[in-house]
Amino acid sequence: MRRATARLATALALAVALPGCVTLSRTEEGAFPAPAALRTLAKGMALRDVLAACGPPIEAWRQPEGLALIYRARRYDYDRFGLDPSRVLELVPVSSLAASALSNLRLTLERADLEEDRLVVVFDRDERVSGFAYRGRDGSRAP
Amino acid sequence: MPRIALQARRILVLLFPLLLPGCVSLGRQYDGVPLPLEKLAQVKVGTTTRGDILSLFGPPSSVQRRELEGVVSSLAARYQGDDLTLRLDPALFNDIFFYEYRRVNRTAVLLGLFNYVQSVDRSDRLAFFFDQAGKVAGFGVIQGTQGL
Repeated sequence: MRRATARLATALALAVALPGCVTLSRTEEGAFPAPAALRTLAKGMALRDVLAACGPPIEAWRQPEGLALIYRARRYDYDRFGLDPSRVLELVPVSSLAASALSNLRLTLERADLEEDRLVVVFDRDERVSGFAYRGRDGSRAP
Repeated sequence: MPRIALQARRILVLLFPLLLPGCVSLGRQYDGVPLPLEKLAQVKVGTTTRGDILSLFGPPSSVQRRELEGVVSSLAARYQGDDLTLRLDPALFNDIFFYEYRRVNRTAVLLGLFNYVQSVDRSDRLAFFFDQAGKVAGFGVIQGTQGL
């Protein structure tokens, strides 16, 4: 019974002393035109029709060559696995040799992944589409 | 095992999550006011003016207009020669009004050994592009907060 209690206490100590052992986070921002709207894009299309179909851009640039609209939506995933046994040394009695070994044993694995839907539409000086390009978060070039 | 001890252990297991501070956190952030999209029916391309838009929708969240200095600088940076004569299209200085209502939903589950954090940032956005006469050349709307 005492052994079981000691195990439970050790497990609880480990659980409390290893904060952030596994962290999964996801951040999403922006809204993107629907695929059906993207498929209506064509060279020669008027600015008003592009705005009506695709909505407002996230950025708009006026250049001497003409207007450029930029649409963007992002998803950012960040995963982390961390192990730091040295933080439990004060709670669990171990030999000095084991303590020095554990204090040097740290493991951190991190993974970050940014995915983005992106559309750029450029216009000529008459504000008609002269070109556009799309790239989906999976790398596809067509919606 | 005595029945009372078993129940006490179960209660301890149930109470243990309560000892972890900030276990679940729900955050809601609101930025701006909901857009009066029903007024878009009154906006006519080529007719409605900047003043009309301001009257209907109030002050924009942001106004985008190119500065003369920026245009000249960008042209001069690309030019190689002795003389530089500029003929600028006034359309370069046409305004764009942006209206935005932003919502951010944050969810965090913090269990010590396992943490999960999610943040979803969505906006209702409305943009008015004006021509040289200060009339609406086009507008676009997207209701991003509907997905929340």
